[in-house]
Amino acid sequence: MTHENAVRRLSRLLNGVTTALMVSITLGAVAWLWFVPPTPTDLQAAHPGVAVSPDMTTWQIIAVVVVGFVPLLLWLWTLDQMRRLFRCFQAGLVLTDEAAFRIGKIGRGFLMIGCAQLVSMPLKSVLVTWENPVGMRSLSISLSTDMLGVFVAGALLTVIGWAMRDAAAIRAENRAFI
Amino acid sequence: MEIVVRLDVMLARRKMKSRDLAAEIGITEQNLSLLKSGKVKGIRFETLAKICKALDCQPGDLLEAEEI
Repeated sequence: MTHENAVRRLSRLLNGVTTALMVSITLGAVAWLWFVPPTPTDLQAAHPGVAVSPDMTTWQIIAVVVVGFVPLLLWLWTLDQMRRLFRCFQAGLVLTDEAAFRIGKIGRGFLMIGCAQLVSMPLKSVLVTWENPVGMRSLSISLSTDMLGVFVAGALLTVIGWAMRDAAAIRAENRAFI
Repeated sequence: MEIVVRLDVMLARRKMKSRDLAAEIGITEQNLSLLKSGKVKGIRFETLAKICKALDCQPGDLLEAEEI
């Protein structure tokens, strides 16, 4: 018994969900930047526990936003890989090299998101405290359970991607037998 | 040495059409054509048994080892 129809149906739905997510995240980020440009007060609210300098320059605020957007861009890239995978599944291309390749890319996407989150927080903490007097500047390093979850999911999907590539090769070979 | 499929010979002997054999053993004509031309990596025992039953022959009647 196969789940071909269920895979197709759910993939069609998930293709729509990932596309909607990509569009809404992009529009939301652009609208946020356009209508509510971040100020040192906003950054203080976003970084509790860090003494954000009230004298931050515009370029420092832009740098914080750019650094903060890196994980978001990686999320968008990973969502795009998911959308392409669901399109493959929707077309019935499940045990194929293309699907395995996408799963591996999603895994690597999660790993990159984890790394970006790990690096962006210390960078942002340095940027928002740079204008403070010596002794008040800080470098904040954190590792949350969310980040660990993203790393584990990334590693798991990368391994599954490799296994799927082997499975796709075996299937292709099996199809050459009559 | 290579294995050659002599299916076309057996079909001619039994005066059977490829289309009829394909229908009887439950594979597509395209796959049967690939099998006849030897453009497949292998043949399943299940398929071989069905062909032998349909053509009333032995596997040795269908497969032959040939020096290259």
